[in-house]
Order: sequence, then structure tokens, then C-alpha cells
Amino acid sequence: MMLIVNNIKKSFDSPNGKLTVLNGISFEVSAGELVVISGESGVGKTTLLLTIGALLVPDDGTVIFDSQNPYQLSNNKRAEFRAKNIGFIFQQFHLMPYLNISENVSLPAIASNVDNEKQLYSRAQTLIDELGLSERKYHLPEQLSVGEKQRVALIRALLCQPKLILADEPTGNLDEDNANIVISKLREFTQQGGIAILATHDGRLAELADKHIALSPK
Amino acid sequence: MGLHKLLFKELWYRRVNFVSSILAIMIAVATPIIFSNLISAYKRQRDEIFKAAFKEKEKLLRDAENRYRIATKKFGYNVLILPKDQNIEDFYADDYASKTIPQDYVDKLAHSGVLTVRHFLPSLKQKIRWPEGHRTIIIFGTSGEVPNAYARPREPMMTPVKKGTAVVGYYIHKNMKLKIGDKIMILGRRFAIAKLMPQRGNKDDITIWLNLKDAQEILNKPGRINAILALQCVCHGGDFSAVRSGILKALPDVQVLGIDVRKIKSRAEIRATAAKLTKQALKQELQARDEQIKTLQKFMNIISPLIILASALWVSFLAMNNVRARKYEIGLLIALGTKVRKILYLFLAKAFLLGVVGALIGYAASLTFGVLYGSVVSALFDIRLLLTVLIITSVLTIIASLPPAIIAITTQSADVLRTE
Repeated sequence: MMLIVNNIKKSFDSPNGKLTVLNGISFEVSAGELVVISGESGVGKTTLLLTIGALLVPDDGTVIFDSQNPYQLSNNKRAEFRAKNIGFIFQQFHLMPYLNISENVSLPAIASNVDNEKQLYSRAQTLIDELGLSERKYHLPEQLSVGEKQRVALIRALLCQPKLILADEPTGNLDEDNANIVISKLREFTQQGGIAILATHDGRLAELADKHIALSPK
Repeated sequence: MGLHKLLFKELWYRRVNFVSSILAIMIAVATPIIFSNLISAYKRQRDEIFKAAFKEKEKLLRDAENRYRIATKKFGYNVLILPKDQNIEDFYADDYASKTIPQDYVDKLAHSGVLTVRHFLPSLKQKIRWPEGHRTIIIFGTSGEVPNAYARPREPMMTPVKKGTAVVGYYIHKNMKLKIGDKIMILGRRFAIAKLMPQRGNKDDITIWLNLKDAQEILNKPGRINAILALQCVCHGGDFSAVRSGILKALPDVQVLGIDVRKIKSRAEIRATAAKLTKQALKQELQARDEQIKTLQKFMNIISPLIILASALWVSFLAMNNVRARKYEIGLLIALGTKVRKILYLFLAKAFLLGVVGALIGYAASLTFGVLYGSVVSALFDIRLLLTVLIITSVLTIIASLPPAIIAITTQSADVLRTE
């Protein structure tokens, strides 16, 4: 399993004209690798993650994951591709405010059309326990700390056992203990054969990374 | 975590939005139903008033007629038909006509079409010296009433005397000590006494009533009568000259006398006038009600569509707000790989639920209105109306929610998630 990012270009319209965010990014990642993408704020880290995650069509270039270019698929097939292969951790977490932890982490089950709900539920409970959220299972996001929210987002990303995790500032707002929990889990994920790509300012992650991609402003 | 759980959790979380939509739909559903029920109730009321007033008017008219009949019964009949050649002075002096006319004149009159005259009573009356009873009596032969062939049948004012029997006046049976069942001879013919009359204080007290044929035989006047008694009906205005003309047209060789019943007539006329007034008042009342119904109908035709439109716009507006509030949720669901049809389902299922709940509550509200104002509005449950309302409301709510739902599914997940 490999991720091949080849000559990705992406621009956006802005009041001052066309804004080029990605100008020919290329790299390859193998299974079991943890990749860090660093750069200043606004340099295009999130844009690159979304492009890799089959959510943002590049203006040019290709993304091949596990021998499949998701942008050659129909919308529905691309959605299936994401559900099956990719887990997202967003900078703002994006937890559903009206679902408790147990329900939030189970959200990918809606997308993946999973037959075995019991198995998924059991996995969710295991991950909740592993990440120390057992006593918060039925709490709403507004009742959680930042670190707890990040752990919930991490569990949600890991629930359907994806092959690729894309994390945007996974340790950005966390204290050391929580940051270590997240890093440890991601490392565990890659050791099990997954690919983790992290957009981050966190120097510790850069040191732990198997590859480091530094984006600079254009 | 299933789609429906997500749907209901979000509904509860944003219940103000939900309730607001329900209220709008409830008003849109209840308003036309209440208007429609009000109009139906007014129409029913109108019909009931009409029926009741019509009955009242008919009752007054019948009452007028009956009172007139009952009152004139005391005076006997109020129209007297005598042979044309009968001297009236002699008639008044003797109290019976010496001249006769054919008995079949009665049938001619009954079939003549003179509707204002009823209760035809042919009679043969004569004063005789009763040889067997050794006294002067009046023989009154009668065959019973002949009904007017063209008018509604009425209860007869006089019952006939059976053949071979006699009805005996007061002084006769009192002085001769007669009993019912006794046999008496009158001019060589035997009769059984069928009835003894109470004292009347007039010539009836020295009268013996016989069957007309018996009287004709013993008085040697077969097929002849000397008077036709009749009752003029008051319901048609009481114009005696018109009655007389009608009778003379049918029977040219008779003369027609009327009995003065002015007092009775005026009382009856009052009742007839009252009936006319009731009719006028009824007409005015019905006109007022019809105007009310028209106004209500016009109002409903304008207001109801406006309310429905306003409700649809409000529901659409709230749905749009909901999409805006949930943009990150939608972006997340897309990022997680949720297919477009599931996201569309979330919004349209919510719209359907709004429609169904709103329709049920709106219908219940209209029934409650009917129960509270039960004297005006019918509160009967109508399953067909309920089903129609449910279907139409659900469809309209889905249509109103479609534009925001389409916006939701065309949300660019990346655009939302990128701009944090």
C-alpha cells in the first residue's frame, strides 16, 4: 500500500486575484510511515491534507492511494473510498454537539454502511476505554476538555480501521499528557501498517516523523 | 449510530427551530379547516332555521285553518246551497227548504275544482206531524260528507247515520223515554235508535236524524235533497264572492248563502297574517345568513392561501437557517464518506416529519376549536380529511425544504472544513 502525491497544484480565487496555495507538491509515503507536513499558517497544509483525502479536487497533479486515484471515481464511489480508507482528525474536531461521545465516535458507521454494528460498537467501546474516556461516554462535547475532544476525534478516525489517517494539528491545543496520548496512538496506528499524515507546527511530531515535508509560501 | 437516531437527536437539539416550523404548519392546516367547518356550520344552521321557520309558518297556517274549522263547527257550515227557486223568506221562517234539487249536485260540486269549499253535506230536512209519536218533529236526512275531490282529505265535521237507524233529539227521547236500541216507527217505517242527542237549546232538540235514503223514502222524495251545507276554507283569504261564483259556475240552478262568521274569520286571519310575517322575517334572516356565508367564503378564499404560502416560506426559511447552522456537520458527514442521498434523506425526512406532526397538530387544533365552539362548528372526526391533510402537508413541507436540502448536498466539504 502506498500513497503517491504527484505534482499537486491548487489555486483559489481571492479578492486580489488567483491565490496559488499548492504549486507542484510531490511525495510518496509507504505503509507504516508517519509523515509530518509543516509550514506557516496559511501556507496550504490543510489544503494539501484535503486534497490527499479526496475532498478537494486539485487543479493539476494526481493522488494515488493504494493504486487508486480517487478523483477518477464518481462522487458516490469517492465517498465509499473515503469511508473505507481514510480517517480525518480536524483542527476544530467537528464533533456533533448533540451526540454524546459514544455516538460521536460511531458516526463513521453511517457512512460506511457497516453490516456488523455490534462489532463496530464493541471496537468503539474498546477505544474509548483505551483512551481513558470510559467515564465520559455519555457526555456531550460541551462537557469535555480540549484534550478529551481531541481523543474523541482520534477514536472516530480510527473506528473503521482506515488505511490512512489525515490529521490537521492533532496536538495543537493539547497539553503534554494529551499530546503524548495522541502521538502514541498515531504511532501505534502506523506500526500496524497504516499511513498517518499530520499537518502540524509541533516540533515533537516532526522529530518523530518518518518523513517531513515543509511547505513554504509562494 | 443510525441515520434516524441522528435525525431525532438533531431535532431535539434544535427544537426551537422544529417547534417554530410545527407552529407555522399547524396554523396553515388549521385555518382552512376551521373556516370550512364554520361555513358548513353556518349553512347547516341556515337550513335548520329555514326548516324550523317553515314548520312554524305551516303550523300557523294549519292552526288558523283548524281554529276556523272548529269555531265554525259550532255555527254549522258557513256556506248554504239551496234550490234556486226556493223562497228565502220561507226558508228562514220554516228553517228548511220546501224546494229540492237532485242529490247528484253534491258530486258535481265535489268534482268542480272549487278548492276553497270543502265538507259538502247533502241534506233533506222537513218538518212533519209525526203520527206515531204524536208530535211535530223535524226529519233531517243525511248521508255523510262528500269530500272535495281536489283537496286534501279532512276529518269530516259530521258522521253519517246508518240505514235503518235514527239519532234522536233531546226533547223527543226525554219526553218519550226512549233508550238506545229502542225501536220507533216513523211514517210506517221502523228505525232502531242509535244515539240520543244532548240538549242543544235549539231545533235540534226536536229533530230526528236519519240516513238520507231512509228520509227520501219516507218523505217520498227519492234522489232529492233540499240543501247542501259546505265549509269555506279560510286559508285562501276568505273571499265569499269568489266562492259563490265558483259554485254557481258548477251548479247554475242553485242559490248560495254565506253565514256571517266575521269574528272567527278575523282571528283566523290574524293567524294567517302571522304566518305571512313569519315568512318575511324568515326571508330576511336567511338573506342575512347567506351574506354572512358569502363573506366568510370570500375571506377564506383569500386568507387561507396566504397563510399556507406564508407558512411554506417560513418553513423554507427555517430549513435554510438549519443548513447554515449545520454546515460543519454536513462537511464532516461528507468527509467521513456519507453518500449524498443519505444527507438528502436527513433533511427531507425531517421535512416529512414536520409535515406529518404539523398536520396532526393542526387537525387536532381544528377539532378542539370545533369542540370548544360546539354550538357553531361541527367537531366530527373525518378520516378522509385527515389523510388528505397529512398527504398534502407532507408534500408541501418537503417541497418547501427542497431548496435548502439541495444546498446541503452541494456543500463543498473542503470549503467548509478548510475555512476554520
